[in-house]
Amino acid sequence: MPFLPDEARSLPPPPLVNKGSVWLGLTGWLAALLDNGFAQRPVLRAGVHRQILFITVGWFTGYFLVKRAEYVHAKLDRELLDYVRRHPEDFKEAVLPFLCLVIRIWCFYFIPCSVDPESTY
Amino acid sequence: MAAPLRAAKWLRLAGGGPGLALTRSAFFARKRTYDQPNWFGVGLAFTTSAALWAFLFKQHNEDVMEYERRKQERHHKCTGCS
Repeated sequence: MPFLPDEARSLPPPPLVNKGSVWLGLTGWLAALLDNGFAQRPVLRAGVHRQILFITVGWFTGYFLVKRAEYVHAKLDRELLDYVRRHPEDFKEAVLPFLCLVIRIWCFYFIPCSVDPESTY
Repeated sequence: MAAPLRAAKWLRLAGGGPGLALTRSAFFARKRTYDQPNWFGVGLAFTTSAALWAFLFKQHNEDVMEYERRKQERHHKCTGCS
């Protein structure tokens, strides 16, 4: 089971700054700061090379994990939409839920809003 | 509880093997001195970081180009060569 199959390259790659990278980069930095703390070194000023390395490793891991997650989600969506398309009898025309209708009427008539309700869907 | 411990200590001392000082040879704890930077470690850390960033940038650019290329290919296949 490859980590990223070839068809994953047909998806737009995540930006270099993405949720996973930033979060894991921050956890890497925290790990470096904790290491400083446990070794009784000045927490922020010591071992900058270590902090940079841990942030880099976290960022790197985050990028590839996000890429794989996006691939898995895209694959699931494709299979789901394919199923919906193949079984139209199970997915009749969706009737607007009553609550949605109420909210639309409320927004349009009772609360002047700049959003055109027709453009919401 | 105490008697087996005493027996073990007696056996260890009477065995004539390495003395008590050498039985802890696996666990030397030394105090780290930070007056000299660990230049090897610093160099290794910075080199590894630079290599990882370079690889990441290269990989990202390659991914973007591959995605654009496949998009073009798909567009040409669907609409025919215009």
